[in-house]
Amino acid sequence: MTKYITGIIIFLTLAAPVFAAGSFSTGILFGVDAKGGSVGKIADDLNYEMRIIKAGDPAAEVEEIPVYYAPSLTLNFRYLYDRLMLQLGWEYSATVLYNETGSVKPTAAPENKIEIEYSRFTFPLSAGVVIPAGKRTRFYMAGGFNMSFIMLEITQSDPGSPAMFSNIPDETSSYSGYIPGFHFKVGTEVILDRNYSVLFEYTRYMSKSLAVESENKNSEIKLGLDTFEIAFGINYTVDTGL
Amino acid sequence: MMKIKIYTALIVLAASAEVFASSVSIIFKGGFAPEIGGSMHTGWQAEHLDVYDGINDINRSKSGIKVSTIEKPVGAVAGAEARYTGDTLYFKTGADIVYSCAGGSGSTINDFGSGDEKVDVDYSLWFYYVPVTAGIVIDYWDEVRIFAGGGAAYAYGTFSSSFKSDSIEYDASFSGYGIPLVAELGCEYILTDNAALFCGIIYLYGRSSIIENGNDYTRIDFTSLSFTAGLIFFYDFQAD
Repeated sequence: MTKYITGIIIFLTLAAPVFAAGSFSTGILFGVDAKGGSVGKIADDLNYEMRIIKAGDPAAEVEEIPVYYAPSLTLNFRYLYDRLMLQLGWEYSATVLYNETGSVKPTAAPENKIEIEYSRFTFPLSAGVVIPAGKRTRFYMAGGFNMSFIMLEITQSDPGSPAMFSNIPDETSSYSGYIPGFHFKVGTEVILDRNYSVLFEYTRYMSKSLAVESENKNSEIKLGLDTFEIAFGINYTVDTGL
Repeated sequence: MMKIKIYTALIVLAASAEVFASSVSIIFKGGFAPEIGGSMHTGWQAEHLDVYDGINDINRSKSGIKVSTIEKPVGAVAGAEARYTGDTLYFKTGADIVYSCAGGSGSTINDFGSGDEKVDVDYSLWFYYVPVTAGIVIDYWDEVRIFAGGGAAYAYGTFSSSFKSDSIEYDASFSGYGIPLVAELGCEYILTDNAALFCGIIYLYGRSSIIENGNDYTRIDFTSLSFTAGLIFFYDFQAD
């Protein structure tokens, strides 16, 4: 995390001479994370293990864990100079209002309900180009790196002994960690008036999955951010007089 | 947080009000989707063929047994949509259908207990979806418009799989629905005051929940990238 912040400061310092002109803007976007962040892969792995349990116990009842889209809220801080764009974002995405749940009921054991609760903060730093397309519209393409802080909690009503899922032995397993990654985004913007514009943006996040230990060190899970988002929002350009 | 969302939505609507000038369009389109259906994995494949990723790991070969590669199905796409277009924003809905027209069949090898034998495999999928999307319109020169937007769709379809060899014969069919996300990019070339040529790319992402059929189960994967072209007919009117 320290290296990431240091990198941002060095980059901004080197870029300082160009901040003599240009415009600053801030935006808010509401979007959807298509794969629920890391939850998709984790749920698929748990579902696979549930099916292995059912293969060994055909009378077992299995309800697989679905993966819903996760809503996201993004705040952007952007600097435009001529056709160049520099943007820093703060993004929050979580399985709010619902958690993914599934269950497995072996023949000779109580039902084990599994629930996944997920949230993340992502800080993308993007640099790109703006392509005007008419008097009030423009495209932009940008890419860069991002740091995410991902929090995941998996709760089981009855993990069993020996544990049904060998890699998640506890009733409550909490994981959190910093995950670096890269992203690429394309978007369109329509300028409504001097200060306001409307945005539509597609972002593709890519990262490796890193092994993260649970809080009680009893288990380990792989967390990553390999997903895409679509978002709509509004941007406000600050009148700086420059 | 809720107040911020409400105020932001009101600002967007108020700021957009003056741009709602203008036209309703009807779009007729056709095209193709190079790969549909996702992995097409089913529980029966895992249990009887040791195949755990559907069409992605079902292809096997052995000298002395002639097999043919099972490729992902190609889908034919057709649809009709209605779009409300303002100066800068658009809203669109309609109905589209995707039907596998090529690929999805071939043969592989499996040992059911009495030696390796050839298994004829056939996967097929069809689904329809009703998209609800919104986005941004960009006028480019005088004759061209570009659209970029997204939303979601209601999709319903049927996935069928069949496996035949000397010792087994198994068919299964699953029907279900899902709510895939939609991202789209399109452009149109205006021919007359009331007609234009259209082409576009639509990306659907999403799948159904688990569908069970006896001891078998699967998810219907609506994820696909479609390339379409067609005609648009405009009906202009003045908004108050």
